[in-house]
Parts: sequence; C-alpha cells; structure tokens
Amino acid sequence: MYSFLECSQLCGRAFGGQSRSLDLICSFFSQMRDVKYLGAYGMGTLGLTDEYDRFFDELSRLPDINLCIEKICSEFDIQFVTYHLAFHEGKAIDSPYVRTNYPATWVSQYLTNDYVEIDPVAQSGFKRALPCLWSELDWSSEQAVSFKDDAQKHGIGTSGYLVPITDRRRRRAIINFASPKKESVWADHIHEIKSLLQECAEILHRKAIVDLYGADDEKPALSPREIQCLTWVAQGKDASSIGLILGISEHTVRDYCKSAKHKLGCASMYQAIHKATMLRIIDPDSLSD
Amino acid sequence: MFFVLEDHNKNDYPLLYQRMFKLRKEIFADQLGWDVKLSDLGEVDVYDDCNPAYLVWTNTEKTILYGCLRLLPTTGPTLLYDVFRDTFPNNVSLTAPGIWEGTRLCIDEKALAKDHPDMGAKRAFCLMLLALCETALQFNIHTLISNYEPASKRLYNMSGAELVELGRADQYGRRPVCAGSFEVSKKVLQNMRIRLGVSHALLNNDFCNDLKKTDEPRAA
Repeated sequence: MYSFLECSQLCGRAFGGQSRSLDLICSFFSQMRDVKYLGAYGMGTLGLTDEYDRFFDELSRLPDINLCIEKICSEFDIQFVTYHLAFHEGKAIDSPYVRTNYPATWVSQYLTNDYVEIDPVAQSGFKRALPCLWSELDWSSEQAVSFKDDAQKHGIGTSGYLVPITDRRRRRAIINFASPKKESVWADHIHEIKSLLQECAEILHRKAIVDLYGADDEKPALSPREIQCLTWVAQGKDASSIGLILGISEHTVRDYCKSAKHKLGCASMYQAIHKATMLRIIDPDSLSD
Repeated sequence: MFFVLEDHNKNDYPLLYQRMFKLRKEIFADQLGWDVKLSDLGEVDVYDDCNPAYLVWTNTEKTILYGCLRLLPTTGPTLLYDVFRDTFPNNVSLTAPGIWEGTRLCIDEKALAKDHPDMGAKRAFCLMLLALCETALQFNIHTLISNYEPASKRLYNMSGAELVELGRADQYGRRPVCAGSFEVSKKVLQNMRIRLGVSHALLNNDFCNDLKKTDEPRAA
C-alpha cells in the first residue's frame, strides 16, 4: 500500500511531460490497482470507481472470451454464462456467434433436439430491450416444461437472468446468467448484483465484437464536458469537486465519466484515463499550475 | 395500470400500439407543432424500429391508453444523440449502460378526463414520471435523458424528479425544446412518492382508486 504522498509523486511521474511512456503508465496503473484506499486519488470515492473497477479491469484484459465467462462465474456465484450475438446491422447473421461454458453434452442435446425453437429464453430474448429473470418468461407450454426437465436432468440450473444489448450499429446480443439456485434465492441474488452483471454483459459484448470484427482503433468522439471531467479525474479530483469546478451536479459528473469510459471502450476509469491520455484526447498537464 | 410494452408482448396489445402512435401525432405534431415525421399510423420514427420499450398507462383492462413514453438504451441508436447532438454541442451525447433515453412522453387528457374526471393533467404527468422512475430502478437505469418543453421543467421538479437542463434548441417547434437528465435512485423515488402522496408501487399494479387523493402535486 502506498501513502498519499507516494501516490501523488507516482501520479506526477506517470503523467509527467517527458516521461509519458506506455510502460511507466502501465506500471503506474498496475501498482495503483494494489492500493487499498483508492480514495487518495479521488477516483475511489463518490462512485467514480467502485470496488469492482479492479475486477472489470482484469476481466477486460483477459485474452479470451471463454476465460471472461469463467471469471464472471466464479466472481458472482453463477453456474453458466452464455453470450449470444444474433443480429448485425438489423439482419440475422448466418451462423450466430455463441460463447458458453455449458457442458458439451448439454450443448449437443440442445442442438440435436432443436431446443432453440422451444426455449423461451432464445424465443423471446431478442425481442426484449430490458433485462429480466427467466421466471418472467412464458414457460407454460408442455414443450417448455419438458425442455426445463431435460435441462435439470443434465445438471443445468433453470434459474436465470437475461440481459439484452443493442449497440450503436444496431447489433443485438443477449447474455444469460444461469444458476441451480431456487428461484426466490436467485431473485434476491440478482437484485444485489444486477448492475454488475450489466457491466459484465457489456464487456463480453465488446470482446465478441473485437473477436469478430477486430479492434476499433477509431478515436472516439468525446464531448467537451466528458473531456473536462476526465481531465479533472486524471488530476485526482473527485466527483464532488469536479461538480463544483464545472458548476454541475455530482451525479452528472459521474454520468459524463461513465459515458467517456463507455465511448473509449474501457472497463474501468483507470483504463479510460490511460487510453484518453495515449490518444491525446486529454492532457492531464493542461490543468497544472 | 402502468406496464411495459416490448417487442415480445406487442402482439398482445395491437390497439394500444395503434392508439399510442395516433396520440403522439396529436400531441407532438398537432398541439406542440414539433417537426416530426408522420405516416398513416400516426407519429412513428426510425427509433420505433430499434426495439424500444414503452412505458404505458392504461385502464385496468389494458384497452384504453392514458399515457405513454418510449425508452431506448443510450448504448444503441437514440433520438437525442442523432438529432440533438449538433444542437447541444456540449452535452447530449451521453452514452453508457445505465443511462437511457425517455422520449415522446405524452398524456391523453380526454381519455383521462373521461375515466378519472378528478385528476388534473399535471398530476397525470407527474404520475407518469413516478412510474418511469420505478421502471428505471427495476431495470438498472441510473440516469434518464429526456427532451421537453421549457414549461414542463416545472412539472418535473414538482414531481420530485430533479431535472438538470443540458441544453436547448429553437428550431424544432413553436417553443424551444430542451434536453435534460434526471437521476434515478431509491432516494429520488422516495422523494417523488412523498411529493405525490403515493405510498405504493405503480408499475404492474392495479390501484386506480388510490391515485385520486390530490389533484396537484404538493408544493416543494
């Protein structure tokens, strides 16, 4: 753990005019992730980052989407995660992109029996804009009941949570989180972690898109407010101070930061500041005395 | 009854859909004079094809529409991003999971007056906002972005939703059109319920009789 003074020095060094090398900044960020009290940076307090920022950071750095799925499962006590991209530019693509940690026996059972025609999750998932519990889907048909029985026989949990995603290019994906927990226990569990699962879903989507179409190295268009907020975060200001400086609410500051993070395709504020600095979208020195 | 319509249940309520687009034409084109695209169906635009969710307010039988609003995630295509971004240089390009756009909020005052003669249009508007806040909380939405006429800002504030104006544009209708955001949290919900004298959940809950308590939101 570093003291505040050491952190400030490190911070000054990492963002120093002459020494803005990738290695140094990377080592700064990796060291910073070990700092217990991020409050010293202003980023840890007041919701600009939270205790899961480090987790999302690590998750997004994993080389493979299957590893991401495993990490999500162990972190959030989930049995299976499935990422399913079905549409591109509003049209169905020939072979849907699916990544899952369901056992091979269940996947082949699913395909052999053409369960996609029966499975309420697959049937209604892509017609949804808002997330839902599997229990909110229509399981009333006889076929759906026997499908569920078969899943249970194969050791597949039948409590689940479905998160739909639509991106700017109108690509649509659904991400499903499954568990053998009882429905009521599962609903409580989801209530606790649903915002975190939403973030996980976004990270999986970004991974899949890079996997399919390659990295998007376009410089994202950040709004002036987003750039101002990021620049002040890089200077160690917290949301409340930035709000005072810019004359906007703390909540709005957080929105601008989240929006900048999303546009930069980053999973944490640390990554966002790093990337924005590397792309010269922000110049953290510009505000220094 | 307030509930959410999405593509998966839209075939169950064809009449509500028809009425919604007609109502939007009556309000936004005829009444407010906004420059919106019209078709035989009423006021429908490309964002209605982007798989939105609609928050609707109907009678218990779900046959008569009192009010509606369209919800779109800012991670996908949105009206405010595409249409208003250039007008509000600073600020309506907010894009992140958890930030959603709520547009085309309107109330059918005639239908409402017929079934709820003792409820004013202002209270109806505020109840829509309260139901919106509940909906957002349920679906991991922490910020709503919206466009509105300057006069409506007072209504947002009366309802307890603290609307922050992000910018305004002049060329869309008879009066300026503003873009703003409001925070969604348990605290905001609590505040709205107190202001509006509503003690229970509105979403997916049939409660019409309780709504008539007062005709105007309480003063701040």
